[in-house]
Amino acid sequence: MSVVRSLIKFNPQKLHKDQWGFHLVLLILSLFMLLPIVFIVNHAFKPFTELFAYPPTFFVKMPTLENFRLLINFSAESGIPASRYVFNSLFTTTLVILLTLLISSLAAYALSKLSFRGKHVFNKVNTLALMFVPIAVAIPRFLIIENLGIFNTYLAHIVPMLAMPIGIFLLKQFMDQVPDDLIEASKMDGAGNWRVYWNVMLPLVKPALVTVAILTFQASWGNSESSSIFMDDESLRTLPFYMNTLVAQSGNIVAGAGLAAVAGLVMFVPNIVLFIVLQNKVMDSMAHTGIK
Amino acid sequence: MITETKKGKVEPKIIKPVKTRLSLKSKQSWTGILFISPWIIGFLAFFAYPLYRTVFMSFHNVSFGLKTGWRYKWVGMENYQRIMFEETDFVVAAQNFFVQTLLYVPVIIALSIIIAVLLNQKIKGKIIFRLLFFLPVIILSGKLMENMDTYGGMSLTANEFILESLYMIIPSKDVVLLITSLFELIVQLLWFSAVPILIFLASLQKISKEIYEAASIDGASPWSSFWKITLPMVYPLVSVCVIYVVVFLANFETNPINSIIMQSKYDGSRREGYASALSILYSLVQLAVIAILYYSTHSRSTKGR
Repeated sequence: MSVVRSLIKFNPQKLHKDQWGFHLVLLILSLFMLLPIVFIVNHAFKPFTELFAYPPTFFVKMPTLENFRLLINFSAESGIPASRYVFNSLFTTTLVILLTLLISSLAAYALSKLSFRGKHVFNKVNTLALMFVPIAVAIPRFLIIENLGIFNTYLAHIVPMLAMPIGIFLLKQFMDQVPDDLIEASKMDGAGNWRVYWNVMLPLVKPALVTVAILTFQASWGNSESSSIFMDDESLRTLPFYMNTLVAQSGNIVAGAGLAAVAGLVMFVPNIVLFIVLQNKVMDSMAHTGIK
Repeated sequence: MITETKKGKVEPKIIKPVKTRLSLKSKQSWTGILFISPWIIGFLAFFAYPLYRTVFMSFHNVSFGLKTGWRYKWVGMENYQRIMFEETDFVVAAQNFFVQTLLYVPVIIALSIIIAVLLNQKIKGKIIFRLLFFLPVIILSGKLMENMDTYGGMSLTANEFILESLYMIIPSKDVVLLITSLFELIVQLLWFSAVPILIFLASLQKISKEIYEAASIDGASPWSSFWKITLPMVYPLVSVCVIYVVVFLANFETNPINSIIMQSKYDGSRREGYASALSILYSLVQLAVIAILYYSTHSRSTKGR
């Protein structure tokens, strides 16, 4: 009840009495949303005794930097410098995001606002593609990569990631909400399809674009499969693969658990940085973009 | 604002019909194809063709030798028969997935609508709250959830302070356990609801305040304006979210079926052929879940309007 009541009281000057309720509910729930981060950070600083303690503890009691020292030692010993893997990851992830955004927004624009033969078929096909488990196509993908001749190149990291039906799906849903009148009006003013796409459509669906970018980043940044299946050359492999091998190579379970904890934190830091940078744009209300 | 939208609505409708239609249509169909062609190419190479190969392999016994290369032996429906009638691991896991998803998805959708409505309020620290609720989008992974589970991060019962204060309020032990386990489940489901929240929030922000104002002047109670205005406005997006959530749950790393498929790829007696048949059957199960949920929400949305 009270939820809606305050919807109707516009621009409350002070904190309204009803709103304490919202704050309480949101606060409690958001505490639980914070749990994963608290856990990752805590986990990385745990000494061995706490990593293997029974019953397991959630919070760290005696934080150490030991795990970090281990990680640095191990990476100093390996043949290829860690910076190489970082570069590989950054390079491929950036390209994947840019190309995915371009391809899927172009396709989504066509599917949503242009009329051409076979449009409905494509629409259905994309929604169906969404529902087939990626594993269903993962098995023969290796053969295709080999036949295309991009085995053991950067392209093998990038190209398979570009076919992401979920990106087109989300973008199309947002573009469907942009009124046709707006598109027609700008066409009346002499804008061609490309111009409408670039100057009208893309700015309007910015929140969706950023969302897709974040989803793509996550998929690409954490992807260690392409390194292990499509790569032979060690110097072309990416950071998540490197982290996995470090943990596996460390030889004993104790060091491995510590390394895994730090690796989790290291892989997670770019995620949170990117998110904080982009969060403004994700939550930019669509109301301000003139779609209303 | 109002005059602008009026202009946009009236002008094109008057001018449009006669002159531009024909030439525009044929031109548009070509640009349409042009716009979508990069996707078509990628789709054919990395989706349609692999899918065809998977179907092909599921009817074969696949083996790989260093000298002989890939060899396929036609076995007909044998792979499917083994999965459905001889070996039980997939059937049991698929049943669990089916029931679980059918129960979880409506809860996730309801939770995310409620949270989206809450986040759309004028509250203090709105930005921080929004940030927190979108966080799972970027950090949720199967590995992390397993890790947290083993270290007791997801259970309230591990936290003695909360448990004891609950016992203070509620005397019965069973009731306390019921409450805590329900709460744990809800928290888990909340982590899956980040993208649905995002989608609902975007559509909530498009509802103009004038509608609520008009409704309240006509004497509508807040309760009824939630059911009559807010819900119908966000309802069209429910089926979108249903598809997204089911696909997400099905592909999530902790899902046991995915590991069954990956393992049977390397299992000597099963190999790629069996794994392909598994993944096709799994996709069909997923399609069935989506079909049930989609049509049960879809028909209501048309009735509501």
